[in-house]
Amino acid sequence: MREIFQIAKRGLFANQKGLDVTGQNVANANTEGYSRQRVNLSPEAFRKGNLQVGLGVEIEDIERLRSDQLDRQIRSKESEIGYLDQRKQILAQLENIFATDTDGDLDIKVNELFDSFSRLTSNPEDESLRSNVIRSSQNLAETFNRLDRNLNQVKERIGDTTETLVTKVNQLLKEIASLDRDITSGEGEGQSSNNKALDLRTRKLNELSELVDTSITIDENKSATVSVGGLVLVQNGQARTLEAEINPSLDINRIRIEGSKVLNNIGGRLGATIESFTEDVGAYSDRLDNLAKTIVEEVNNIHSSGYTLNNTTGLDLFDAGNTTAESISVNSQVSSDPDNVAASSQPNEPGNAEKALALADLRNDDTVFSGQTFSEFAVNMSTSIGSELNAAASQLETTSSAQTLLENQQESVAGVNIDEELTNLIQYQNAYQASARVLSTARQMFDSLLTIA
Amino acid sequence: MRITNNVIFNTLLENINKNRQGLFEEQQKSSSGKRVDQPSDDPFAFANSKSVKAINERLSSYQANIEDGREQLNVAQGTINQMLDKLQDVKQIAIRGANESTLSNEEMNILADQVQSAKETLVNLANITHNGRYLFGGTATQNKPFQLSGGSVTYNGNSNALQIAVNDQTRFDSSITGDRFMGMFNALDSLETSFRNNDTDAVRGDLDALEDGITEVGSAGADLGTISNRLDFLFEQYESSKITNDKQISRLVDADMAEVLSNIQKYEVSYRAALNASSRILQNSLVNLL
Repeated sequence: MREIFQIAKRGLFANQKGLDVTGQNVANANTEGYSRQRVNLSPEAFRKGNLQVGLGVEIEDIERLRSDQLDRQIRSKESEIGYLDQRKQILAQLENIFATDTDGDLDIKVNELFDSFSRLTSNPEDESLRSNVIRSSQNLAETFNRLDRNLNQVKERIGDTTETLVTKVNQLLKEIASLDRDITSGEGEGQSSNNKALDLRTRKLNELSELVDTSITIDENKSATVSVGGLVLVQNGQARTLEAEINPSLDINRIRIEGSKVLNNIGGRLGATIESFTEDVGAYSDRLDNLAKTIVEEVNNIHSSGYTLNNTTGLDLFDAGNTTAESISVNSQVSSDPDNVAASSQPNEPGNAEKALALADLRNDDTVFSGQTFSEFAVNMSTSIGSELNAAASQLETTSSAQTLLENQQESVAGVNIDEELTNLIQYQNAYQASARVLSTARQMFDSLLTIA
Repeated sequence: MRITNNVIFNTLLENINKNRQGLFEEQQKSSSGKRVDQPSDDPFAFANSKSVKAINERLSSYQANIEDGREQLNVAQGTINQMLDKLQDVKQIAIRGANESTLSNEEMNILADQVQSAKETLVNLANITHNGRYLFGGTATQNKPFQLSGGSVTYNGNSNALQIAVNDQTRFDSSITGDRFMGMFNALDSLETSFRNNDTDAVRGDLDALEDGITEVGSAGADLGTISNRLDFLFEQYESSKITNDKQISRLVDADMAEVLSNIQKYEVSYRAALNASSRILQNSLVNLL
């Protein structure tokens, strides 16, 4: 007799649990990173003599539905997206610097210099045409100086971003380690998993993956080992810290683990800031310097062999020692006296414009940059930044679309469908009412038994 | 595939965002009038437009040179024409002296004085300046090319012509070198001497030399005229190239307004459809029916 009470009681209990879990799912329908839960029931039985007698229903488990494999794919895409987006931001900053679509752009200033030489040829003795040459040279030098300053600002900003990202990463590593401890302490024989901590850890791992490219393994105890760039950062609930080593003026932008090993192949947003520092900003900085140096050398080469209106020779137009974009400057001997612009190829021939012509012809020289003229080299910097930005943007779009597909798939496994839950609600409610009925029937039967005596 | 509420929400948001992004981009194009504003909009078109713009810059620069050159040539030609006029007068004097063998010493002297006076005028003309440079001294533009002393004219300029750059590797003379006048001046020197010496035969000889000298001056003037015409032609040619280039630049970077407006309409329709469809889906839920 007493079995029926057990059976009814278990039925009530199990279906109530079902209602709880349904309620839990509905309440968390909009919670970010929530994986829906499901009660797994199985019938309970025992042997009585040669009969297999049922003893109601047993709650096996409250299962968390989520695809770990999809999570892994999503995380790897997240790193890619973080990397591409961060790099895109940096390239956009570079594009803003080099291509302002105004008359201040570098290639225009280069052309204006050559124009000033060309104009000088029609009247080399003319003071205003000479002043024009000096002015164009100064404008060009100032443009180089300005671009160099802007690039340095970008470098500093990247340094700041790196610091911020490292702080975030360290924070996430600590949180993941702590969640990991929560999860493993709850695991064990017969114990249900700590679903809340699992969901939270998944969310943190995803956030981390946007910042760095993570490699994650999960063992039988559900403990996670997180590696980045081949080095372990979280293991057995213990997290290590990253340190940023930054010095923009010395071109240093590195990540170290706890002050010792340098971390490479970082990926994600952090990886993008590290790599972009050298490969993008550093590379364009070098190209800018190269252009400055070449202009100084080629122009001085011709100018110093020419004769000024003062019949002197050997004067440089640009200061010979200043061959970087930061330092390029006009020789003060020339800028203070326009007569010192050397247009002539002979002394005592003020109407001779041979050197001015040679300087103007430099515009067409494409041997210095193996197939590119000075102007083309300058334009090319803007164009190649534009191309790379374009490529990064379209790759980002493609990867984002793929990510959306994966996320939808994960949603399909782990997401809450309100209609479905409401249906379950009705189901569990009915079963609960039925079990209650069984219980009241059993009580009536017991009462009948009692009245006999 | 299980479609949960979030799948629908996410898809809706993505569609809305895509349409708004499209609208935003078209709006940018319509307000700036440019299809290619930054290199990343179309790197190829950007690079091309830059190089075509550079060509136009260069052409404008050469046009400025041509204008300077034309101005100088005009002055030079004008001066030579004045010289030729004066030379006609001198030629008349010489012819008179050559044909009338019965002139007295005094009359020959008067003729010599007239030649001298004409010579002074001619030397002044030959020393003409423009924009602070002597035009007929070659590249020695800061020194007076012609000196008249002791009755003879000397040339201290050089024989390097003044030139202007009209294109890469192409230069035109923008004046003539004064040594081309020396034939004429030498003849005048000799003529004056012959008059002072009352030597009619010599005068005849000088007359021939003078005619050769005048021809040379005339030919110098004609040369300048030819160059002037070529400059005019080049200027027009560059002008029309610039116009063609401007059109090309426009094709490369300007936005086609009709296309932009039609795209805006397209996105608007798409946007509204997405909103519409989603609102219908979202309204329906089991909750309403239970």
